[in-house]
Amino acid sequence: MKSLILLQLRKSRLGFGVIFAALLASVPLALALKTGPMSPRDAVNLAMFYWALAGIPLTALILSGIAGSEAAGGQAAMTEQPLPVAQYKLLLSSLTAALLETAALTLAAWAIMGFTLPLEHLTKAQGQVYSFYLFGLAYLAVYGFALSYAFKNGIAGAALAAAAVAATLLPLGSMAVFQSFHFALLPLGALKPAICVMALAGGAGALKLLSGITDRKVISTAARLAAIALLLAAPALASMAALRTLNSRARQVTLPVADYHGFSALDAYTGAPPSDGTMLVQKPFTGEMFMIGENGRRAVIKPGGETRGAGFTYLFPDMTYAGARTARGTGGETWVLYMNSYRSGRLLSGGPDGFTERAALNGGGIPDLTGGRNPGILYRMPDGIFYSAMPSGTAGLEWKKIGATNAQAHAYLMNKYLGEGAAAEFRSDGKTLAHGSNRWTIPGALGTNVPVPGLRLADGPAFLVPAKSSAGYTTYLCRPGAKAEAVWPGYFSPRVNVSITPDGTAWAKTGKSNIAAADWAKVASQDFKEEFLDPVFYIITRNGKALPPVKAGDIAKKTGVTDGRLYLLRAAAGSLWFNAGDKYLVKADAGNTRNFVLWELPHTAASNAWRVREGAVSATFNGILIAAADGVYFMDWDGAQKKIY
Amino acid sequence: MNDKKIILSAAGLCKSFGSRKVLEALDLEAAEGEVIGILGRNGSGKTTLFKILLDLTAADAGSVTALGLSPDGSGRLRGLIGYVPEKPAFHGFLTVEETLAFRAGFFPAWDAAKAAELCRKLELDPKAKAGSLSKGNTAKLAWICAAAHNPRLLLLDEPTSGLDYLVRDHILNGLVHELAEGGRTIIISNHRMGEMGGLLDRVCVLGDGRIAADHSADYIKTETFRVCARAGTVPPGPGVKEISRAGSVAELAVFGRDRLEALKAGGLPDGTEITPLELDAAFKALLGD
Repeated sequence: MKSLILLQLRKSRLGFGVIFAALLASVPLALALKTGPMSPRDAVNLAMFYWALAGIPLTALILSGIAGSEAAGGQAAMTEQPLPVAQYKLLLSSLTAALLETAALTLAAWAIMGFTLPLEHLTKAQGQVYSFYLFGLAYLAVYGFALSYAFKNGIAGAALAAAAVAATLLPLGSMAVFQSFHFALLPLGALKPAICVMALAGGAGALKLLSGITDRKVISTAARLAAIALLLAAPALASMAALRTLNSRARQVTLPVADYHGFSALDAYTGAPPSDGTMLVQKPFTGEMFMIGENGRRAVIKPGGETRGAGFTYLFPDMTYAGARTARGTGGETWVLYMNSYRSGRLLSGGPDGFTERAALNGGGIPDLTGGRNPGILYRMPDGIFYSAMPSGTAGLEWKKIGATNAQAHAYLMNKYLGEGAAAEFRSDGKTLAHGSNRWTIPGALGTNVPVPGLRLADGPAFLVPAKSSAGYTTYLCRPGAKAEAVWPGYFSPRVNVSITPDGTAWAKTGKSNIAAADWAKVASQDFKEEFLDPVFYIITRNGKALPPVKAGDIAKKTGVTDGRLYLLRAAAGSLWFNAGDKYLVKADAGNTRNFVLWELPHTAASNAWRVREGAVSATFNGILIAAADGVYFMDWDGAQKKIY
Repeated sequence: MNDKKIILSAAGLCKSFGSRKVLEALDLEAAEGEVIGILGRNGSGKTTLFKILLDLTAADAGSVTALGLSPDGSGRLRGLIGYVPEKPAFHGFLTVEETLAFRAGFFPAWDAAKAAELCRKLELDPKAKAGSLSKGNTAKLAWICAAAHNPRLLLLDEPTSGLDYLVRDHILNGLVHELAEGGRTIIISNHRMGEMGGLLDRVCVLGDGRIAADHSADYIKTETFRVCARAGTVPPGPGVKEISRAGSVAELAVFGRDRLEALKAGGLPDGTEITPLELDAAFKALLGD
């Protein structure tokens, strides 16, 4: 085989030599033609970039096309086939020579660039193209050879090979980019190598069958021809079928609607529980947004839709993510504010039975919902910041200017919250927290003196306040009629890192940080997933009881959730419920979290483009709603699950 | 042939190209040391038969066993057979020397000394580029390539076609030399089978896709006759073939002494001439069968 390959290389040395010389000649040419500010290195890299982008793929096609058509010609049959070697091996030697020449060109360009990519950072799309590059070249060469051999024509073979490669790599590349930008709906980690193997092995297999027909004059039965066509088309068909499947799955994906501002400290000043047994859900494929209740009742807020029909396969499905803010009104209604487009929003109110548009906000400003006992809306306009309380009945918004700067607007809102009793404030001594007639003395230095958001505990509004002493921060719980009680070690505040469950449980968590010196290198690496951090939860139940710190390391290990995505959903009757990475609902004994049971959640489409602070699970009073990859589910606190949409 | 070892056996070979049937249930056997001439008209399937025997072309049906191997597409069979194609071709950029060295890598029994000696004998310049060789020298190179690995079976497809007398003699001398080494089985197809006459043990006529006639060389030399008689007095029939007609005189070939005796017994007209048939004329008559 070696001598055959050497022979083939010798046969094509003129053509290859010319192209290789052109590659080398492009270095001095690039230096001669470079524009003023461009460095010599950049000029050469640019030249090599063009070679990599067009020159080398084209060369792969030319070399393999020539080799394939020559192998099918009479001269090759007369000179080489009498040798005691399988005719198929002669073809393989010729193909190998074409591949080696392509590799030599690639290596030369790579060496000229100093064996490194002249890019400081690869975008996701560039990374995907880069990861397919060598496979694409090999694919072009194998198909260019096989098809040129089949048609005894290098140009036709090269053109068909380019089409076949494009038909495979475009869907495959777009899927890879789509999944890196959006959600992983297909196991591309397995699919990509499978298609690579299918393309290279299929090309070689087709070549063997073609050799039987062309060289050995085996009868070309319909079955044999169909097998050749199938082998050659399989990678493209598989790639396109996968894209169709991806489209189909992407159509079903549901995600929770996230706050378009991300987490806001203003969210802490809420007057109502964060959930009323509903979830705001979006279908990014169509851009639809709706509210859904535990019973599956659905109210569409934004219809979305498709222009090309429900069965159309998009090369790159365009996801439309919905961002919205919600607030609970005094009458129990939900207010939803979402942005249609840049600086164009809609305000609606309603619930699972339906929503009504209350205002179109097209004035060019940035609207924002505010909390408090009676929510309102803030509108940052070029000529100032305006505010309107949520109107009752069918009344419209009543705007009033509350300032020209964010600081003025913030001060206005804080006064509003204090006035409504939704927050406590520090007296001028900096130690006394006041809310109504209640007074608490907080030892230590306060981190900030902004109004403290209230927790809705069973015996009335309570407050969590972090204060600093020589030993570090300690968080105090201030309950009505009681002294400030040190509950948690560390800095915790609803404005920053304390969450509230629907049943009113306040919780926060930390990770264990005593990392062994030997592991610091691992911490610095991109693969670090806090796997040796041991989450500790701090919990205050609705009746004001601060639980001892709850270590949840065993749960994290058992569920494999080592990236910190462990969230408390409920604390009741001596038990705790967690969302473990959107994978499991975990019910643990509050006194000993080693005793736990877990239920697997339906597969959720973790979006790479759209992060929801606490995952795809939303707790209600009776269980959890899950925005899954194929619809919306409800699971009660004992793990019984049903699909509701 | 029966007491000699059979080293090549083809049975029921069929091959079609599209709707054209080239071989139809062809049977052929060759014994060790036997020299067989394959006679057939253009397009009768001689080259196809050779390619099937060489495992270059797959038969549609039938079986081949040669030197203990059967065609399997691997090319192993060709390593045991010396083959001179009808139109030999070599890589033009290789010299004769390089061509031989390249081929040597594929044949374990390659005899480099023999190849060099053949080059010398055939006056072939080892430094000459294969692309610059004349047709005759290309044929010499093909012969050297076929003979240098001392194959037990040689398949020669029109080895002297289009060659001048000198080159033809070189090739034929080479054949004689190979035969002198003993044990070689040679199958030759040639339009001018007469020049092989002295070498052949057997002549097989390929017609209608099968071996239509199979005669020993002795039979053709001693039992074929030319009969010149008045036209129409000796009707052609089995074993009797009209070769030519000039005016009222017809020239016929008669195959087999028995047939000739039967004609005589039937009463040949006065003036009928009976002479032994020349080899070339006999082969020509066979082709016309």
